[in-house]
Amino acid sequence: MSEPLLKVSNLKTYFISKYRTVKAVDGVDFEVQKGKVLGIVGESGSGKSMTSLSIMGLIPPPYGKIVEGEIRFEGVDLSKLSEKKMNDVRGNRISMIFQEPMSALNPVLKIGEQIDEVLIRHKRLSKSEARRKSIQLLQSVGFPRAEQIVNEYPHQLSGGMRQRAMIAMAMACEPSILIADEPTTALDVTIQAQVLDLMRDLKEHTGTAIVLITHDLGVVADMADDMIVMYGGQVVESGTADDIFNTPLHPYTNALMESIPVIDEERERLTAIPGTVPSAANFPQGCRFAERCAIAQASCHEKMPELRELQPGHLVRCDLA
Amino acid sequence: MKKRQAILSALSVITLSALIAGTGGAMASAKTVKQHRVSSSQSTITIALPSAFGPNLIPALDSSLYTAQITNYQFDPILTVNPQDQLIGDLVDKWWYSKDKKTIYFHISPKALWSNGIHVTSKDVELGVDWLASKSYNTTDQGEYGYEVNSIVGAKNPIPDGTTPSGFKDISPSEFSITTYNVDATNLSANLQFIQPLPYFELGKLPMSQWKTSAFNKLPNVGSGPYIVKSVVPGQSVTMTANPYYLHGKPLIDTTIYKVVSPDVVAGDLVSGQVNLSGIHPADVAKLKNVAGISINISPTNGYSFLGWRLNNAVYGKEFSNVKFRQAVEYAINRQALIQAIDKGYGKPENGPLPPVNFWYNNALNNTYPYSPAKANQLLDQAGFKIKNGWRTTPDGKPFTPTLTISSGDTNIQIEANFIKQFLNAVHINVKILPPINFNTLLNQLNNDANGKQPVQGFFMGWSLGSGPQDPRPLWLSNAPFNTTVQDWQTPKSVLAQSDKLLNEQASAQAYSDTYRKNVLDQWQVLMNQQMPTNFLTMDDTLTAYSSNLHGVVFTDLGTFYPWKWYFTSK
Amino acid sequence: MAAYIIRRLLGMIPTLFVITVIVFLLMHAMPGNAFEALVFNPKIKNAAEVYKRLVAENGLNQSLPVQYIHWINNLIHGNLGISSSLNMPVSEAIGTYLPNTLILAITAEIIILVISLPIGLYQANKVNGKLDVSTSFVAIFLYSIPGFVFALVLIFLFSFLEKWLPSSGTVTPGIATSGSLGDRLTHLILPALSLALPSMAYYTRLTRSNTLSVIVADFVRTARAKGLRRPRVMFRHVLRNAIIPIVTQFGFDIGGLFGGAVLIEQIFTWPGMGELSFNATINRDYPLILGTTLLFAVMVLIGNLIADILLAISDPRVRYD
Repeated sequence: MSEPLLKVSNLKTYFISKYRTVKAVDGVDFEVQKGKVLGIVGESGSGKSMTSLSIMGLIPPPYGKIVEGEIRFEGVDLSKLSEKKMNDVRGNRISMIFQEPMSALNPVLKIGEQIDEVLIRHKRLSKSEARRKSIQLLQSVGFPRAEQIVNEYPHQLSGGMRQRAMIAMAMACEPSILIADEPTTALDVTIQAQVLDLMRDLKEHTGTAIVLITHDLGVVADMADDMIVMYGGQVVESGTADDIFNTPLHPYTNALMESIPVIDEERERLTAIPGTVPSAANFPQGCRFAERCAIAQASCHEKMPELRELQPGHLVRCDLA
Repeated sequence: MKKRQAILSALSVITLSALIAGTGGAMASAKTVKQHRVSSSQSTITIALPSAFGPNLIPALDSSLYTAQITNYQFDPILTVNPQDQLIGDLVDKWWYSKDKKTIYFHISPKALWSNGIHVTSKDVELGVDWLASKSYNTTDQGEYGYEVNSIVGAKNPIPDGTTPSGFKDISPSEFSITTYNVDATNLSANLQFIQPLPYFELGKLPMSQWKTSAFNKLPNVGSGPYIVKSVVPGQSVTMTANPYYLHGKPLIDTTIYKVVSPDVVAGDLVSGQVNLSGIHPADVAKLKNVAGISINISPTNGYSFLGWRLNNAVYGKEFSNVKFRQAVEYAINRQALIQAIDKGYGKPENGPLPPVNFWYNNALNNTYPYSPAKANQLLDQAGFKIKNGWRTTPDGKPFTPTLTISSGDTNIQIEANFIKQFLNAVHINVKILPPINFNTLLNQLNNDANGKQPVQGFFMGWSLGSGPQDPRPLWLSNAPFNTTVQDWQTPKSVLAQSDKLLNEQASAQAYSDTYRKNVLDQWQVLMNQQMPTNFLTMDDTLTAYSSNLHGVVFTDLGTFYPWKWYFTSK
Repeated sequence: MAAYIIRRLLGMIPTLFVITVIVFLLMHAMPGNAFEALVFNPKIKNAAEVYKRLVAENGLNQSLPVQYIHWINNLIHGNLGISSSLNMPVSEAIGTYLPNTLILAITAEIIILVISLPIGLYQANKVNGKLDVSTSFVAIFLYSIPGFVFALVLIFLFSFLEKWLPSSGTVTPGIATSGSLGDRLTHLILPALSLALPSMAYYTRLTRSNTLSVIVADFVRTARAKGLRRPRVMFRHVLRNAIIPIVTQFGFDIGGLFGGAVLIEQIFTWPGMGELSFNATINRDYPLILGTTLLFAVMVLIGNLIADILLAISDPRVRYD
């Protein structure tokens, strides 16, 4: 395995206020390989979105802070970069797309303008050059009439079109990494597939690595080379997608797998995971999944399990696995 | 009417006045207040007007009192009065009567010039008379002066534009005569003296119907008075310059500016030197008194405030009509206390329709009706208002709970009415104050109360009424139209007839003797004083503040005199 | 857009009609008329007859519908009647007074925007910082004080204590430079500030709260994720959206400023519409009351139209076709 493109080590992102500390991300390690897709899976509240925002340096102020850890990208620790330098990375070397393209696009600016400004900012293109490039980009994400689209407002596009426009915008500077936070969740199923295909195509063409954040294991199975499963702000299992799908080791991963609706099979009902994700403000002392774990033992409630490498490249945070 | 306007515009700013009283206090005590530098050669006087002047500057065309103040600076009358209210010459220097006293002959002063050096002639006087008699003038609301030429033969009613009443005779360029219908001692002093000659060379050829839209009306470029309008900023200010040909000599101060200044800020403007002369509220006196560079003049006025009773009221008209009731009320109200409370002491109790400052005032009225609840109780007892459970009943033994209607807006009216209520309660009259009603509603009720069915019983409007200093008839004759005061006084018919008889004595040949006329008016005042047709309350002083380095101003109850003699010194 | 404006203008006609009816009825519900007090002027001879004649000449003895139709008919022919208190045509009076109010109101509006927007934006950026808290306190303080109080305080400070500015009027009478631009400006400052201060406080708060609500929007995060520099994010993305409700409110307020200046105009002896309508009312000057009230109504309607146009311009989601 070559030197990873992005290496996150022991990342801790806390929200600290006078009254409480919320450990949104609590010691996360993972790597993103060049040109590969890393899937980050977890329920809402598991810390996966905060992990991606930590990489982007977009933790909401004033309370959110990276308190520990490294985000090493192309030899630099992003968590230590100044805002000014970080701005040169964002949208340029690492870019990001979001779950709800309607609200993620500025409603009062034309699509073209919103793409132009990235190019003008990072590539120092003139307005007209940027516009030409924007049209090309829109064509490359599948807009047949890109010349008109640049002059339209977000509300004039459909959901899928908006997400394509978002992708065009994110890909404008040919970044090394594209972080996609639930890119298809808000879309119709058929549109979902188109968007995923588009992302895959772009990856093939540009060699951009993708960090795909989702709660949808199907999407991960479809796209990811590697994956990590997050729970309670921690990585509970990581490895190649194949390994994890073939031999899920963590009880949580197992439970997630069982909750996937499989269209071919006739099943009485989906197995939902009982209980809810514990509050990040008040994690239990032991294993964070123990409360909901079907096989938990007394010791699970007392001691936090370490992340262990059970098979080469396949790590799991469960003492019972 | 003017008084009413002033009251109403004062209401709106009453809260503001309270506020400025605060800042004003600070102002007076702040030693850091800087004075505007005033040089010994200061050649501009700024006079504050509390409310906007009107747009029409041809004399008498505008109904605003403040416009009249401006036009009276520009156009002198034929005769005027001295500070003692005696008739003296102005543009006319000599006048004399025919034997039958119906015709008056006038001679125009050789010094009477327009501001361009042209002589004032009989033709100019004639134009002034024609104007006042014309239909064009009278289609307006007759300005500030009303129809003041109806005593001239041929002008009983308005006549077509440009025609001259037959009673006016143009004898020569410097002589003219006016013949009146009746022999009346007040013809000259109450009406004709005010005739203002108009420049024939400017307006003579212009149809009167077009005067209102003429350039002369907006900016009269020539006049016979001490100051001539130079520029006008509508609603704000009028700049006037000294008339070099003024018959009493060119004014010493070059420029007079009449400037509209909100009563809220006028005290500060006086202190800062932005205003040199202004009327002020009683509350302002205390704070301006100690400010260096400001002097204050307190002059009596020629009006009275009153408490009215509807003598024909369906409920208590009978009781109000009892003269002892009205006399008792006069004794019961501590009017000196009212003056202290409302006017900060600047005023005097009044015992009759003419205030002490009036030339015709009867000194016998002095100190009649001193504050005396005992005397009031005694009179009420005599009149049969018995006390039952602490309150007086009517002489018939029915409950006596008269109401007082007051007009809304000015909180001072309510305060004063409350004082009155307390004083009357103290003599066991159970008077109640009704919720304040709109001024015009009150007027309406008073005007349409022939059968006494209106809800008004007693009323207090917080305004002053003043007859012209020369003739009380317009307010007091029984047939004086639409007059609340007289209408109230319907029941004692014999007294009314007596009053009319005395007043009409002035329209007699003997009345041309001041002694005779004084005698008649003295009797009339005694009658009023005994009858108390309304309860006369107080006379409020006119309070004027001015820059201390302004000299030569003569303050009287008739206003300020001799503007052409005013001058500034250095401080 | 032009068609939209024309359609909106035509749409005002029924509203205006209703306004004229209401104003007419309300005015006639007031007791008394312009000439009633005349009969109490002892100087006027035959006052009762004069009164009757004036009432007849002014049509006040006719039935209300007849008076109304008469008035409307004249109005359509551009004739607003003759003011009985000013003794001049109403249109001429309005022509004299309206420009002063326009100058005052427009200056106040400019002061409001130029000062409130930057302060509000600054506050939102330093939310709960020392300056935000203190300026917010000042803003609430200012907002809760009526304009005429400012007027008096400003006059006291700048006209009485320090002789920097005049306390009343629009020009200095009787000086050589009377009516020059400088002369007019010195007269304009205090009344315009008095009129602007309470609204300034309001607009500062409005800008602050709108900015705060926009600043957390997804598209702002997108803009930051694109690596855009802070000023561009603030002005191009945040303010551009936050300003929409502000400009709309601004349009609505235009009409209000004309009426709201009544007390300010009284204090500063500023011969504007406020003073004109005030005097018209106390004098029961029907034609002038109708004329000024109608003008106020038209101003409010125009303000609403401006608000709608500004909204249509600033927010592409609003359809105006």
